Amino acid sequence: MKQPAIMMIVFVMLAAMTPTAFGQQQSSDQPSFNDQLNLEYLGRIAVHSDGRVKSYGSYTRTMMQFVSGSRVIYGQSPMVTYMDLMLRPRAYEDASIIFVRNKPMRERIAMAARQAVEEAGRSVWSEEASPEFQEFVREAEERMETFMRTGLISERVLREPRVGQVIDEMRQDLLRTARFAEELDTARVVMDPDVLRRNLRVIAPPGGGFEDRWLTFEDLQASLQGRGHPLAEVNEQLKTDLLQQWDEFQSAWRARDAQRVNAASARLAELLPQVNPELYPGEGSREGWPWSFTELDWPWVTTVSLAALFIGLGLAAVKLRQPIVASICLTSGIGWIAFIGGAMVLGTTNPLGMESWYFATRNMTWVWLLYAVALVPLLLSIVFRWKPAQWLGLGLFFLAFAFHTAALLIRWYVSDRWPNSNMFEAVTTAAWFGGVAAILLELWVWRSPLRSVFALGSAASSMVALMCAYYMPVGLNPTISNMMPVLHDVWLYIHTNVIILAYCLIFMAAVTAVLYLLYRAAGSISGNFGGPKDYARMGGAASLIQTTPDGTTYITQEKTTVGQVLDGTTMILMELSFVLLWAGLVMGAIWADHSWGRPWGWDPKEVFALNTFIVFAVLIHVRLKTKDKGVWTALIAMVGAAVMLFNWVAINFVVVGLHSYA
Amino acid sequence: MTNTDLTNTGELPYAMTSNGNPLKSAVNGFLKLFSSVWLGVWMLVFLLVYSSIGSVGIWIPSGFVPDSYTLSRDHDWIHDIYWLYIHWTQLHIRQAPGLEMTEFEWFHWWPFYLNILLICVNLIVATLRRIPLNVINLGVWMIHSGIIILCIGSVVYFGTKVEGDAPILRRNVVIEVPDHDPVRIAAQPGNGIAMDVGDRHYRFEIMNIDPQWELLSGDDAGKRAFAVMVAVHSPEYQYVRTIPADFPNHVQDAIFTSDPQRPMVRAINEIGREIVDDSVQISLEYAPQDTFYLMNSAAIYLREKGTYEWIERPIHNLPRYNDYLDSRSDAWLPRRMGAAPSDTSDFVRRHLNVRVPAVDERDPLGDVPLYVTRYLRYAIEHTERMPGPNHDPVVWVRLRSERGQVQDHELVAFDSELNHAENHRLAFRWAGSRDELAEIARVEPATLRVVVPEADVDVVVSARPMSTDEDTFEPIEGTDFAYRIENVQNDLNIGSGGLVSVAIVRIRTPERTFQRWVFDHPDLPSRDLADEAGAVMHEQEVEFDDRIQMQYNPGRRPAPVTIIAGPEEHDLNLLLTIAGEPSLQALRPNQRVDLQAGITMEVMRYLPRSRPETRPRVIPPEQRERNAGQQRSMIRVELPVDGGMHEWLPHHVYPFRHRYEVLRRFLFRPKEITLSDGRVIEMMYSRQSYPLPTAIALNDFQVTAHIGGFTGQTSSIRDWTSMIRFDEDGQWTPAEPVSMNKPANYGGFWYFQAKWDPPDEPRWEGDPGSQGLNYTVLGVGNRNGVWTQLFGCVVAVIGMCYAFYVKPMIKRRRQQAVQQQLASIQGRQTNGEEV
Repeated sequence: MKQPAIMMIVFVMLAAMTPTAFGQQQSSDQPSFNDQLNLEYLGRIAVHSDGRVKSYGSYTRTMMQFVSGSRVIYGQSPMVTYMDLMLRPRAYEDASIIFVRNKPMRERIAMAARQAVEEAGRSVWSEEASPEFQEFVREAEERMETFMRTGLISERVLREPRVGQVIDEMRQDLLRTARFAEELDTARVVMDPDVLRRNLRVIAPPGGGFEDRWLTFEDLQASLQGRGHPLAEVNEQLKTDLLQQWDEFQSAWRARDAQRVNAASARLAELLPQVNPELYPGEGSREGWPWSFTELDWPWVTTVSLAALFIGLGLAAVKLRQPIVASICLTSGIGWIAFIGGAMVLGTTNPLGMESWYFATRNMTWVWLLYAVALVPLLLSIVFRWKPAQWLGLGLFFLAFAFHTAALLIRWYVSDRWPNSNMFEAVTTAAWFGGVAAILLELWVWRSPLRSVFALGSAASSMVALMCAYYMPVGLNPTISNMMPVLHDVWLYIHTNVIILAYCLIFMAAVTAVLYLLYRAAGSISGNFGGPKDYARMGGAASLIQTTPDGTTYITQEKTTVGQVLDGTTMILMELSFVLLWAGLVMGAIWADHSWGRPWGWDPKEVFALNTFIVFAVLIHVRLKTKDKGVWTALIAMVGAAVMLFNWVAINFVVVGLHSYA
Repeated sequence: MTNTDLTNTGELPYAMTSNGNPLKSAVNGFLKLFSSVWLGVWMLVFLLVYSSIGSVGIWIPSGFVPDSYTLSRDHDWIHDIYWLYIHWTQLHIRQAPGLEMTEFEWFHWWPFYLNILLICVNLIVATLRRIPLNVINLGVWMIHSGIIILCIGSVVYFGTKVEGDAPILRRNVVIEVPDHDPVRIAAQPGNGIAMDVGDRHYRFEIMNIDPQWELLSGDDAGKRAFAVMVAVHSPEYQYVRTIPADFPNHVQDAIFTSDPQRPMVRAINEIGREIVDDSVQISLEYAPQDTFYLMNSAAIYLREKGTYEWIERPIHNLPRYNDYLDSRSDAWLPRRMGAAPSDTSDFVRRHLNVRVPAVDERDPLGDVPLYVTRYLRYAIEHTERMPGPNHDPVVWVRLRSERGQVQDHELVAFDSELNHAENHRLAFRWAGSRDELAEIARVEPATLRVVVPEADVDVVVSARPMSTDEDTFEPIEGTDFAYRIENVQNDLNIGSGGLVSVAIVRIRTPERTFQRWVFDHPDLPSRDLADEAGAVMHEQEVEFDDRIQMQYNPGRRPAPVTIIAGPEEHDLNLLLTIAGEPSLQALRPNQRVDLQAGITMEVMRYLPRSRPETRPRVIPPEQRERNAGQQRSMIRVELPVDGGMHEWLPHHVYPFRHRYEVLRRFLFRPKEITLSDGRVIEMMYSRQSYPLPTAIALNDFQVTAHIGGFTGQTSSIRDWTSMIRFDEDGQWTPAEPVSMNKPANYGGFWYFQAKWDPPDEPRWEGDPGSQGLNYTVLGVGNRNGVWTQLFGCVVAVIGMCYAFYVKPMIKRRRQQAVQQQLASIQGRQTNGEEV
């Protein structure tokens, strides 16, 4: 978390820009202040922001993203940066915290800043040769290099007239650079202490209802003086206490006294819910979860027994060779345990605390690493049919999947809705569906040579999905926000989930298709493995169902090759996604019929979903007519995945259509 | 064929023997061709390519596109796209000139229909000839027939599709005054009407509309209603009447008081009755809508001036995406960034001539067709100054700040609206002679005239505020009065656009001390205000002391920066009064003058002789609102009468008939053309109309929000609900909710919640602003054949599941049955041997 060394370097640079007015900068006491801060209480405070009550943690993360993009400032939590900017703005006057996304823009700003520095230096040290001047320019130069690398610059540099001129020029070019100049404006507005204060709506409207606006501490202050919102229903004592604690908190924060800050924030976290407990999310406040059924200790009894029940039933079903029941029970059980584990580690069922934690851990997208690790033994097990590798791979895959499930459930719990209504949620949930499907299929093919191939496909797709979420927090923005009104429909859950499951299966099919092509390529080089006839004889599912004249199914035969295994897997996934995609399209049409007024609008996203389906229709018929079925299947499956990805990436981000909200 | 995934593709069941009969061989050839699976595959590939092109066009890395095509052409059908770290040139074929198709049209064009038709024929022929109908192949049969059913349903659906939208206003305000027909105006904030009945003058203005007004008295106390507040100015009274919808017995008036703490009180509390004036009746009634307007359509509406109903002429084949201009001078074209003013090299000449014949016998132009000869995708009307024959001086001035900010102004000397800028700090004048020049430069000090008729005092003193340090009063000679000039404020902007100057004087009489505000405006008499701390803030007026009279003359000073043209036509002078004393100097175009700290001024161009010219200004693509659609388009209509006339018409979303009906945020700007016979024809460019099955009224409109209420952001809204009622044989049906995903159904059409009226800031000075919710826009559409489509889809889904999962199981059973049989035969044989 903390990177004192980097911080020190930054501090040194901070002091380098102009020869005037520094000194009261962050001194060496800051790390210790940050160290001693207990953010748990702050993280549990609710902030109202555009129709949602968020935790202070996730709220500040969203706000600070407007300033610093996805960059972490001084290795500290956005919760700290927000308070600092609000309460100690002077300390950040020359702190490099504003993120400039566009590289050419960085260059132009740096150029102007360098000129400004030289001018400033010349006005102080008339001689360019003087060592102070040289030192001054060198330090500024270093700082600009850091800027070019990280994209972070300080508000003070942006205020330099020369730099301002450059930004104004960029504002003129609406097509290319105006967007970035506007981002800078937004960053500077958001940094304004007044703006930060006005947006910190932490007081639930006392006596007010669901649709009444939340208030700030300033509103509370005003009400004590008889202005603004009357807040009639809060007793004076509570008002006074709150304001007193808030004053105490602010002065302690300004004085960098971590102990007092912690005490005051703990007290605030305790007092704030009392203003209107009905509106304030607290322990177990979400409905429909075990602990909201009763107030006794039942919640834990219920949850633990539920988990035991799931796992028990799942194991029994495995024994009874009931793959569907088994997989449903097992995945539910895994998810349940993962979630309970999470809650136990946090020691709370308060959605606010969980939300802060969930965002502090980057929405658990680091699980991609676990999937990546699982890939290696899974690959080994398929190629070399090596038992220990298989067990290790499946074990790691299950572990990763459990974490993935936990992340999904926490998000579900925190946002109070199934996560499938923005790009981040669509991508991560799709990958999770792929995992569920893989486990289901694994149980079905448990005794066939296809074992662990589905896990491999799912691990690969989940890894890619979570990696995207991890490395592109701007494109796949994890912020939880309200769904647009048009999305409130039962078909959102049916249509969207079926489609994203189909998409994930398509991706998995492409993974096995690539492996098949690699196998064939390796075969054509070494001549060791199968030729054109190395494919699953009956196609996908049929190869596992239909029997050969000797009474066994096609793929269970002893002599099944890796090629047949991979081709069979591709076909099974392709068949599933073919049906699901068509069904999903039809469901989307049913939704669109009563939502947009036409079942089919030729919207780019619809058209490319249909195109994906057409590619697979082509695949089925080409497979029927060609000799080298395996290669053609693999190639067209890859084309299908490419069309699907184009739909998801290019259409979503580049081509605007009706679906622009998802 | 070892693979039997889907079909038994063995020998074709019907032998193709042609015995020389040309018809037979043609039929055989046809059957052979359309039995081919490969034909189907290629047609699917064609479908894929066709739909991709229609949807996203063709993307080429910009490096492979000649430069001449890539330069700032975003406004046409060629777009720049940045994706995957590559610049692409997107050729949006569907939008290219000559095609100009929407997605809907592209996918209902003959190549698409032909492709679908051929696929269907292929499917039918191949299925019938190649796939025997049996239990094994049932899945494939179902998929193929499901798709054909879907296609049939779609032809019905899209062939009969009508869709558009209908705006429905919540209420009309009906105003009845004696001896005048009732007048209806749309219940929208700011809407007003003046009426003259004989010599009686009435004025009504809707001051405010509260969608959630709380009833305070009677049995209904606590209920909330949509309430309209109308300010009434009648010859006798001035009051504000509140009319709640659906509660006619709660109509009440509020009257103005002299108490600044409570400027208005309910009439019942002041004069003992709810209604000030019974002779004026104001009520609310539904504003039913019986028409909707078709999506992506265009029409010209005509009427003779003075009539009410529009006569519609639909326009077919109007372009959508590209500009059609004959010459550069047709419009003001955008300039490329940094290019010289004359450089409009992006201009592409395109010819257009769309005939718009009359379709209605009531058409005011009779059989005379109209022609649309120019089309602009995104433009606004704009007037520029061109060199002209008449003396009408105009300058273009550029102000620059130290930080490089630039402000350009166009100043016209003879136009009192256009001859100043920067809040009257910059002005442009014409001086025909040296004397006039001197007159403009003359500074006349401000004066205050003090008259005390009793004492026969009439003096003029300099109106300069007295020092604030001491509280000294200036005695008025020969009286007991004394005064003190506190402050003068010149050229204050008052609402109606006029300027007012005021001197604030404290007057001490033997009885008291008070403040007097002396205005220079004839309509604003002086006012006396109590002289207490804060009293002025609350405008505590006291009785006017008419023993002392004052007149304020603010004097005159030229604007701080005044550019004066003359006395010779090409002379320019600059008069600066920033630094106290006026200084006059000659000025040349392109000469930079320092005005004050860091601000410089430059006359970029000067035209002594000019004329105004109004043309549409093409907005550069990067400044266009992305989802404006047709809303900013303009057409030029030619009228082949009286030697040819033409007029540019801006697009109207709805063809409102009268200014009183116009909904907030929508345009109403019909154009007039005067024919040689003296008739004046009004024209409007809008969309085609289509009758609704019955009239629809909007009873109520509700917004539900997420926690914390509506914050101004859409993300805080949970849902919008229109409560609508249908006219069923003169009776209104019970109110029915229409909200997102929950349409209403009536008369073969579905009605969807499409747009709403959000709260709105005042649009100009004096505009009351709006709390919104005054109207709704419903999407309207029919859906013939939708069940056929659904049936086809479901059959196909079942077929897929059958083909992939049921078929293998059936085969497996059969195989096992055969094996069992074999086994039993073998067993019997074995047994037999044993026997």
